Amino acid sequence: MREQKSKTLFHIPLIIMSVYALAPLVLLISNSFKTGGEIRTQPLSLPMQLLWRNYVDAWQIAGYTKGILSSTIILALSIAILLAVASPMAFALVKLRIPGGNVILLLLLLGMTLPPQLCIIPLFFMWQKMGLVDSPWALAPIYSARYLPFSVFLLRSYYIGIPKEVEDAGRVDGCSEVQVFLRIILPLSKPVLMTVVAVVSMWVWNEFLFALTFLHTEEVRSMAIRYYCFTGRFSINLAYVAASGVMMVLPIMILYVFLQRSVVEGMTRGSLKG
Amino acid sequence: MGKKKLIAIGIVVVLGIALGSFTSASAKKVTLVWWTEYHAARIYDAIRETIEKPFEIANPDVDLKVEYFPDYDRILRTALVAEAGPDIIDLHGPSYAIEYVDANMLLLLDEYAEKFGWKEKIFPWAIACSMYKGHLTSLPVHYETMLLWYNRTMFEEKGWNLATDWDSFVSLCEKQDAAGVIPLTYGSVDFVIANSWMTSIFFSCIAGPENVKRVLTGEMKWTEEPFKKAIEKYRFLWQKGWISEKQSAALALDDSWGLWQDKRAAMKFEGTWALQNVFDFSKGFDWDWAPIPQLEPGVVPPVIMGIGSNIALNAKTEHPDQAATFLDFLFSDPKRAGRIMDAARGEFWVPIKLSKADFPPEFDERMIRCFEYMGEGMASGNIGYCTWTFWPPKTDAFQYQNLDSVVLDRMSIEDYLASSQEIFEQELAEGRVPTLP
Amino acid sequence: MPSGRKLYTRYLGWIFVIPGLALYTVVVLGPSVATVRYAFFDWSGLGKPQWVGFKNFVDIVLHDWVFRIGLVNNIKYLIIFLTVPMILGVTLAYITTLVRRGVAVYSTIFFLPVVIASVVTARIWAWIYHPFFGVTGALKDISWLQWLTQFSLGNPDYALYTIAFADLWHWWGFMFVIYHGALRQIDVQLYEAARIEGASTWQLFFKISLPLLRPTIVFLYLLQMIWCFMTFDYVYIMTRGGPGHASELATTWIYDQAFIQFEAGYACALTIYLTLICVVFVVLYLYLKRRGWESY
Repeated sequence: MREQKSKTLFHIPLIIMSVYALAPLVLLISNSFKTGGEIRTQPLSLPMQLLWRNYVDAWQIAGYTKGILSSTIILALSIAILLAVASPMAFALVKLRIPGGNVILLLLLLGMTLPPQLCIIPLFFMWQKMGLVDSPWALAPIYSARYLPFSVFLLRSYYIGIPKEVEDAGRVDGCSEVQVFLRIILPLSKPVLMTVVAVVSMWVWNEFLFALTFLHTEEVRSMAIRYYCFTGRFSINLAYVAASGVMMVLPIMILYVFLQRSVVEGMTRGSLKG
Repeated sequence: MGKKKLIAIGIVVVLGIALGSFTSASAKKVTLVWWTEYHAARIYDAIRETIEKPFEIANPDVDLKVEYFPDYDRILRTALVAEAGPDIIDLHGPSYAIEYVDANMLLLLDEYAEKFGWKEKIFPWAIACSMYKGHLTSLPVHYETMLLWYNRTMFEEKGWNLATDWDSFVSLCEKQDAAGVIPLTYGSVDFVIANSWMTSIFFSCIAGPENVKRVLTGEMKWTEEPFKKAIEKYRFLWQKGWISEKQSAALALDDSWGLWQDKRAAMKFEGTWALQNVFDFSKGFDWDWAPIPQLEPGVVPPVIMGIGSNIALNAKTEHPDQAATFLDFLFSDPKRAGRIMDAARGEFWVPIKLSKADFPPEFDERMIRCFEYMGEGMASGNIGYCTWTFWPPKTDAFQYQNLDSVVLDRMSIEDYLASSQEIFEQELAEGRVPTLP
Repeated sequence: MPSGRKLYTRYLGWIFVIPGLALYTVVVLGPSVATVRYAFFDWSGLGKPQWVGFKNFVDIVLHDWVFRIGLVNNIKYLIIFLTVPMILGVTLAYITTLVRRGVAVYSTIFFLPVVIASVVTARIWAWIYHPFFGVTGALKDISWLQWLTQFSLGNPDYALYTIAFADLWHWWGFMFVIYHGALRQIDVQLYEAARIEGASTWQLFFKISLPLLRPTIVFLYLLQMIWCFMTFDYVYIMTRGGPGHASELATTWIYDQAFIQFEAGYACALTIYLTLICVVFVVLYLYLKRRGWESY
């Protein structure tokens, strides 16, 4: 009897924290349906009507079509490059036991723990000289490189778990190392690759510092920077700020709902870097 | 007979070739690209109707492309560094040109000035501050002044009168504060340069234009009494909570207009560019402007002059002559200037001699008064100095960046002025102080 | 022949690694080395760099009061983040293990803020804190909520904490999930045994869960320390380091110097100082790992 009661009591702090977690998001959605004046005078009330217009206007003025295009290009390209270089790297480090492997791991660790400012300044001026600023195609490799350590560590911890017998079976059959990698390891890695894709997608979509520095003109702005500039310019129109915020967040929310386990596991395990 | 025919045919052939090459030459169009900072849609249209189209009609061999960018500074820089960029460049003021000139990115305009007579067409003081190290580096394309904007309807309803001196200004603020209204609305979180509006007003109106002139030529030091007083008075107003209830560092520019619209604020210190916003944010009441009251006994309030925009040519342009022709086009016709001043509302006040007759009939009466006010100021010679036009760049930057620290008591006025002096002395030695009229 | 194959494997291994390494060198390693080099120059990013030796480093130590404020703020941030989200995360993770129903729902909700873009979160909270148009502005007429108005982005004394609170909202769910996962790995029988001996729920927490969580806690602490010195988004978006540099962080100041003031060489020197601090933490972590603090 007493256990039942205490169990219910425990829900109280959980509910309080849930409210804390959800309240700002609820406010965001609620605001997106109000007019600017309504938000200013009655911030906490429910909208008087559902102004879907806010969404349409915000989408057009902020140019979200271009933003989605830009962000998608950046995302697709960075993931493609990342997977293409990270999986062989992890394979070589774990299975092929290459010499100098520890040095490489240390370098990757440094990349994760040292501030991004360390590389961004010369990188920007170098890109600028080469005319590569304002190009989503040129930003993508930067993301691939920055998320390389995380991906390699995550893949590495997964590959360690693949029993040696599996690959040896391939070798015995006469497969070269490349074939072992392509025919055996890669198919087995589908789950962890999914995790990498899920987590990195989220990070790239939301990323701010590099996108701010490398994408200037309106044509090429990613969603995150587009949102930032739009809400900076129209800061007085709080309805636009809210509606555009909801639209910005929606893709990731969808990703999260469908791939929740991947995202959560990936972020936590990747940070715990095996 | 045969000979005559031959000659005739010969003439026809020669004419044909000449005509052919003539038409093919005119079929080759020169494209000029002009980059300008993001403006409201109203200005796009204004520029297209009053500048772009007429210019292309007057110069059929030129195709003018106008491109607009928010976040303009960074995009411009990036393009110039990559040796790309437009033919015609807008800049926020003469001091922005200095850095680019040092990096040899701008075309010096002295020859064209001779050719087109710009020094005669454009106000001399505006030309003077666009010179750097003896060369004309850019042309001033928009001049402005600082004013006090106020909600006329609110003043009438509450029975308030405009202030005539410091004491009446202070008591006006007190009355407004007591009535639950913010006396001066202002926000700078997204544009810290806005602090230079305040430094411009307070230095010129309290330290006085004579002293400002002296300090900018090195005769006086920033640490002296008049400048101290200027900042002290600003700090006084701010710490009383009369400037956005001490929240100015957390408010955006647009927020300050939001307060204006919501009738939670009565007045605003801003330049003529406020015309951009004041019409849109004054729905339901009437607004007006007044000259800045006399904030310091003994200092006649000057008409503070500044250059808001200037225009320069890319050193790497392939069509300097056509580009220079375009520059001249902006300054040659007073009626055109009048039209764009009306359409652009507070931007593009071309610094050439205009008369009331040059303005279109719909030109708002308050803007005409403003124009006359500036004209009187220039004629009388009692002008003040906007920091973004007459200060060397680093000194201006230091002052607007650290003004918040001063009013928040995180930096003493002495330190603020002492550091200003240090930075200024170095820029003076480097020849970066603009020429004063 | 075994040695032949081994040699082949060795070289082949490097081929697998080279593309990634090349990319990494161009984007991360090369520029990092360049930063060290540019720190010794006076360079605006626009013209030609000019050699100034150690001048930048000396200037930072002697004259740069803003950087000092930034580092102090980073430390304040650190203290906040090493306590609040940790305590919240651990406590709530533990409570969640005690509850039978709705664990999945709670986990989903708590982690939700983590996936929201920092731009959006920063704007939501900036609005909530808005002195005139936001929630704080609306609540300030209620007398017993007056103290809330202290938390404004325009208040130099509280601006940083105000921002930290928003960042906390975004981030504590991450802590929760990690602790929750770690707690679930603890053998249930340990709890059973202690319960038989009469231990209360909270005694279980302090005597069993916490000690067994030590490796996770230590690891997260070190991670958090490094992240606190890298944090940028929230401060930049909400106040740009204002008012009057009250909420400036080392990272926002570096960004300002490099890309707004165009003092790229100076900014590189600032970055070196910041990096040295992070290196201290990394070394600390590696040392503790060797000492076996990660295992129990």
